[in-house]
Amino acid sequence: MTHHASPESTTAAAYGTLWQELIAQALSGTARQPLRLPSPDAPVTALLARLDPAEPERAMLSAAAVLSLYRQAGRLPPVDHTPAPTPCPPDTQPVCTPQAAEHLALMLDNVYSSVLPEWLAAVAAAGQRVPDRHLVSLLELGQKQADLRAAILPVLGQRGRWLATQNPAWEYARPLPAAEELLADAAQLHATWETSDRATRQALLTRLREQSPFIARTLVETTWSSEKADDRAAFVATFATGLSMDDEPFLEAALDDRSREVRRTAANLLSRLPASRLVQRMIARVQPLVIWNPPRSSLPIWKSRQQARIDVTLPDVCDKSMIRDGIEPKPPHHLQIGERAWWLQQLISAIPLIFWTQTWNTPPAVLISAACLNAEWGDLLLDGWTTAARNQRDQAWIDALLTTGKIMHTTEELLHLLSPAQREAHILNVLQTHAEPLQSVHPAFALLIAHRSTWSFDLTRAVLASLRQRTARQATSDDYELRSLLPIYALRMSPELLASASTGWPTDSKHWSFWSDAVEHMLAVLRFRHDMLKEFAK
Amino acid sequence: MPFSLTTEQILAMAPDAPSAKAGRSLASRSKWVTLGANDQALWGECQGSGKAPYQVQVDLATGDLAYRCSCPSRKQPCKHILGLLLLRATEADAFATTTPPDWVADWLAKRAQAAQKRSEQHEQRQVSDPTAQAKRAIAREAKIRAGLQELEQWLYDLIRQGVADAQSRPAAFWFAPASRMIDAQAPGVARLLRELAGIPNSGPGWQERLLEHLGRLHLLIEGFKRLETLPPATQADIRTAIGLTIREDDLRDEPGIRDHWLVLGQRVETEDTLTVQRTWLWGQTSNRPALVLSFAAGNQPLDRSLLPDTSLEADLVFYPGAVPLRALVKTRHSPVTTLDPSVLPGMPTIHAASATYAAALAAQPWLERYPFLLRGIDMVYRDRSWAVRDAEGYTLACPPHFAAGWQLLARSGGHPSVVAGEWDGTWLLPLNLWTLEECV
Repeated sequence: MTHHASPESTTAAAYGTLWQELIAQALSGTARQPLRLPSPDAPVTALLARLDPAEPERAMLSAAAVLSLYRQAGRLPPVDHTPAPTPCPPDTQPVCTPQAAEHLALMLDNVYSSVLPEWLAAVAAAGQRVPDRHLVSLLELGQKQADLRAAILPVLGQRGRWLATQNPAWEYARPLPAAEELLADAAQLHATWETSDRATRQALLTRLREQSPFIARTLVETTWSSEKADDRAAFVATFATGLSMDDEPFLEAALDDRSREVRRTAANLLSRLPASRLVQRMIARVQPLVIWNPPRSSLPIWKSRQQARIDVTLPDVCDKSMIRDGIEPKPPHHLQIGERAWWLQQLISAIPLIFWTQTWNTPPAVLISAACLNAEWGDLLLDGWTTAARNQRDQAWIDALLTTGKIMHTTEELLHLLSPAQREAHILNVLQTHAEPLQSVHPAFALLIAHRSTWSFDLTRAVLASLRQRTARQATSDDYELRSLLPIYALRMSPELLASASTGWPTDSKHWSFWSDAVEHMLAVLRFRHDMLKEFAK
Repeated sequence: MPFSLTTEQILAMAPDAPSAKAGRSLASRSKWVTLGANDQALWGECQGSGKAPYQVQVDLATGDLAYRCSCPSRKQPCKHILGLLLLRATEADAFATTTPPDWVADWLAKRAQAAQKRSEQHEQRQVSDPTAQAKRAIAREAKIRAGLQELEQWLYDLIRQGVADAQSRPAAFWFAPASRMIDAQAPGVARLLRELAGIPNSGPGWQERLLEHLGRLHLLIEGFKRLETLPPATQADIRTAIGLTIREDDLRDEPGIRDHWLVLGQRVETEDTLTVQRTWLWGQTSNRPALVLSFAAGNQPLDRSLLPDTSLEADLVFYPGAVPLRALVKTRHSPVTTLDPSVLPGMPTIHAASATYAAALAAQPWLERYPFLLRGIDMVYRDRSWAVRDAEGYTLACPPHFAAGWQLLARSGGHPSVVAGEWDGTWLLPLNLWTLEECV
């Protein structure tokens, strides 16, 4: 507490002492010693002087009442001249409508909360922001759920970003300067790099790598040896942005890192660089094991009636150099695969796909059908290529793998790499070629879950038609899974079709009771989305 | 009559969080079979789980926002009423402006009749038997006097032995005299004694707080002993502190202070099974604070007729006392409107507020909390705790578990604001914050 130096404060101090003495006497009790009431020279002592020492308990309590009130009434608030943070600049982004804010409040209250990402995206698309009163809940939500952060940031507005700079727990939402700005002030850049938390540093690196991978890499190198394993893994992952052969020496060195996660990420990145030393080593390992046997014909392979074959030999050992290059010696438990097959599959995953098409001078589709002919190791080849296609984002291979018609456990992953329109067309095609109503063994079932964007009218109609057929029939044990997924389907269906989605259900069927609640719930979610999105159409 | 409630004000009416949540989910056109409104009322039919939809209606004409719903819920206002109000606040065009259906018109007519009857009854009301009542009052005072005499001896014994070992005393040591004070019909004193029980283990500085509290208790006993010699206002304070309450009906005949009363904030606390709601008001012209209390036992609803961030023209009758704070709303002259922050009066500095508090404390030493309406305030967050700071740099700390700081900072955006809070001599508990338009 800060007091002004003045005569009053001297008296205040004197009363403080007086009060402390009284407390000391109260602790020991009036029975042990006679009550002493010292008397500094001021009006309050006139009151104390009137107390009768012959009644020590009464006098003590009266003095306590007088002095404590005197102190409480005269207490000076402490002074703090620390400068206040710069106030928040005015917001130019308009606030969403009150009704939209009510939808948000409902979702923050855990009603229809699964719809929140879509709501956030709609606010961002409309160029709007959330009202100030919801900022705290939203920032706290982002603090707990990192996957929502990217969607939350655009709708915070000036006020939300400002608020985030006041609370260390919301550092994730602090605005990061543009890359040019970062590059312009080297001292500031190093200061930010050295003092921020992991998420901010990771975001900083990603931002920098878009402009100058060199500076980003240099920054990482300045503190590399003193970083924790989790931080190193997070930083090396940012090399995916702007990856080039300039990064190869650093990544090659990272293969000797103490952290397995760092080694794995570095190996994965190196496999995307066809000229890297790691890729050359991988090719050297695979070349003797996977042999291309074209048909004996003078025609080019895709015109020949005879089919080419691929012969596969499994590697004998997984040596130290393979482990250094990121090969896992033990297959994960959920994969039904032998150790040696697992090694080969990983080797294939790490080789640029262009190696196969160039070395064997054959397009992906032909290679894939040749692999399908290998009854024993065909799946191994396809899985390896699928992983490679995913890592390398090779569009030609993704298309070719998806159109082989063979649905594999990796298909969902490939689906994510397609544009929403391509994905949609693919799923619609699967749904139409397999005419039986949807259920968990239907090939489109998993694809629909993996398709994370809003379905078109056509796909929505097709799924609804399929569901209406399914719900009219006797439920099988498979249908529990389908039923539990209806609320997720409701998040993807086109809300414009609400009216037609609400009708035509087989409510008179004797099997309907199994479905009714789930369908009702699905329609309620769809209706909520319909009402919610209407607020942004205005 | 224009509808001016905001969603926040409506949600503040909800008896509990689940009701607010359920009300929110009903604030959607699709949940309602019919929706209608006119100048006087608001109504709608909400499809519940039963066959017939629930009939929900709100009387907007009377200032205190009366409502009724045909659902069986005991919570009031129920989710249907909240849903109807929320929908009105967000989507006014969902309501057709028509003449009310019979079920609404009948209810409104019945309400008008009942109001008429009440005012007649009030005029006829007389004290049932003045002599018997006076007798009862004398008997109670004698009981209190005897109880306080016994308590005084207990206090003297305590002081004689010293309070050094207070921390090792069992809770029963403090609770025993408290329950004797209940028997003596002095519930206010009993409450002070129960509060004592918590002090010895309340952390550093407990000795000071204990002695302070004992002094205040002693002062109350001494005051009651010579009640007749004291000024009437102090007499009233002592009676109130002891627990001799004044009947609301007796106060209603007193003249009120007419003003435009701004509802600053609300605080609800639960002690055992009793819920206490403190609503702080401020007179726009009289520039004086007022406190309206509402009590609810168990699951009973609290009075929701005064909502923070609203204002109303009304006569308030103050309970007697040296620092009149507690009041009751006698007559409403206007419907509730949304509070306009630009008209907020208040205390220019923390220093000025402290001086007002010191004067109040000097007049009413048992004052537990006093409202501060401070201007030019910054919310300051340092070392994981909140404080308010004025333009001169004076600060008042917020209580250790104060959690709404971020919410207030989101509202202020770091601009100097008007803050309403409760000052208890140690902590300032902020209840509301407004930022004036011109600084945004």
